[in-house]
Amino acid sequence: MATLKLNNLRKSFGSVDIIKGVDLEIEDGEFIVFIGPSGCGKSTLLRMVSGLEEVTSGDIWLDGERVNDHTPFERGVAMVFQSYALYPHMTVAQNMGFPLKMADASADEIERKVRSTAEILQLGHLLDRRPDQLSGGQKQRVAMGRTIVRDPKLFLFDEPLSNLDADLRIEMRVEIEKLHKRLASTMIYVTHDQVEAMTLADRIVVLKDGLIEQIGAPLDLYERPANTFVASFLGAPKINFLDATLLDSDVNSSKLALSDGSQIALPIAVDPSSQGQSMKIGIRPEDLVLGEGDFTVPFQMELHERLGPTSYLHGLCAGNPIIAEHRRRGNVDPEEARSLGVDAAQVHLFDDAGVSVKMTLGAA
Amino acid sequence: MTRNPQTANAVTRAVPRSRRALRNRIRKAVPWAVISAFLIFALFPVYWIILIAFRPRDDIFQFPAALMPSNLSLDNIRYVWFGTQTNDPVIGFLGTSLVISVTASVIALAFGVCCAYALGRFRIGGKFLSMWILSQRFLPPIALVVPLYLMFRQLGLLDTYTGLIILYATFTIPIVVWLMLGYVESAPPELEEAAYVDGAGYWTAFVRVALPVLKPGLSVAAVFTFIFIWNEYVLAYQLAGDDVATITVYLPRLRSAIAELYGEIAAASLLSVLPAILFAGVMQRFLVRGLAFGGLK
Repeated sequence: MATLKLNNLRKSFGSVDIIKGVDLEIEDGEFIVFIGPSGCGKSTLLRMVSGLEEVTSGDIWLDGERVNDHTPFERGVAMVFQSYALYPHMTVAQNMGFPLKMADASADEIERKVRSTAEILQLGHLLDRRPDQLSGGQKQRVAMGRTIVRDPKLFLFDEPLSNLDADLRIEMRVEIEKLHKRLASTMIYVTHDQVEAMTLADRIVVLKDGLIEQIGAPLDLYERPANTFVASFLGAPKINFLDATLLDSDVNSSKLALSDGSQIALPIAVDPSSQGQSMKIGIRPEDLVLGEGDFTVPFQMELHERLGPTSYLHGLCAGNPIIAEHRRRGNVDPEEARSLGVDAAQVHLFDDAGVSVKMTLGAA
Repeated sequence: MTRNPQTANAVTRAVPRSRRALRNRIRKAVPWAVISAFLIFALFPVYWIILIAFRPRDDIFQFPAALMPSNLSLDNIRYVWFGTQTNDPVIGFLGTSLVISVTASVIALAFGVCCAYALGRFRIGGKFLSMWILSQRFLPPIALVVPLYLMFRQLGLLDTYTGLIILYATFTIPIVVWLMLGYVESAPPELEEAAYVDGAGYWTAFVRVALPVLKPGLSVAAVFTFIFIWNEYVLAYQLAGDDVATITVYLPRLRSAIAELYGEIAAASLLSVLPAILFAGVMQRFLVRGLAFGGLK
């Protein structure tokens, strides 16, 4: 159990800046997920927290104590690595007991803790096996067991499920969720998988190029993305962006011109000073429906992709490629799908720098 | 009369098929022929030494030489093992070689693997230190004989175990460093990082986690080092003496001005290669690759 505070944290390798000033406060017992594209610095940030990577500047406070110069062990963190990093020459029991041995625990205590942890993770029958005799999922469990036995202050997970197949991934994701509920420990989890982030996190930290783009609860981020990067990073299929120019706005509505010259009226009020500015309208595929909505956008269907319970309509809207989610089974006639209805409450507007524009739903 | 088209087809296809089979057989036979020829060329001297070692003295100079021995004798082995009036028993020299080879190998491995680990993991010495270490082996050993002789005489190390052990350990450390550097660099650093997180210091992580993973590399380095030291002659000849002489120094002594004891030389040669073969055989057990990656994805 621990609180963590990162204060203007920076990391450079030579002249290359990887982490460019990160401020973050994590509450006791929180499950935080770092998410971002490859090379955004999420793993480096996690390694800095763990103590495996030195800090170039800034401070790390763990439970109110500055731990910049503490070893990983002194910090009381435990880490699950992407590659599991099980000691190949040791048995499962020896692997799980290693941290306790390093802490000079008695043989009895090691035996007892390893057994009880193994029972929790259903590893009891595998204690005498070596890592090369285990499946991917079992290795993953052992790696988790090795972190649990120590009862650490802070759990760190570095893309722990990325080497597992799809089914096992779901299974292990649920296990990690249960583990967090059972232990109620502070956990930081690095992933590039948005499903893992959305399902596991209390709060998600979206990183890009060594900087935090947005922090928030999963649904907050999904529903109120701070910029086009966050909006497009969360959600599959990705959010649709329509290039537009704000023509006019009053308290009830805004008129925008799409890139093909067609005009749409949104029952949304935005700051009139933005008039004449180019913008991006963001609409998630599930917020586009065949038929009427608060307003409609033109649509030219190109492809109907069926996935079973749902299907995706691919096509163009004023020259912008878009995808609409269609929840009814059966064929869709392209001639009938000439326009798509939109729920105004689910629309996102971004300025030409990609930053979310403040807006209010019109009174009408 | 019309021919059955199916039969005609089978006939026309049968010819190329048998030709293809022949071509396949030749393709398989060529590598075997080349390997066999090479093996005969390489192993014939070994076979000849075995033959000479177990032949009575009179048969050694028999002309034309018989490829298969007509009668075998253990006399040469006995002369070499127990010694005669003209030559000392081989056992003492084998013992000296064993003590020096094992001790110097252990020292070289201990220093070499630590050095390789520091170079590979912590990037100590930048890009050039590892090359600088290897550069020590650029010079042929003979070039160093005179300065080494003078140094050893000054330090009282001539004809001593200590002298030869220091010498060989120093000469083989670069080999160990270079061999082990590759293994260190290809071993996953996450294992030691996991150990640090689990509470191990640098030394504990090295000894308890990294070294077991590097075991296959260590075995290779041990075999190379041991065999290099066991077979070294030039430096041993100059710096050893009557008190401490290795097996490689002993062998030429059998070819004295009085008599050329070919049977004894062959027998001693055979006895001298046995420890190296045995050692390589034992170490092969540890050359199991893939152990390092069992704990990873």
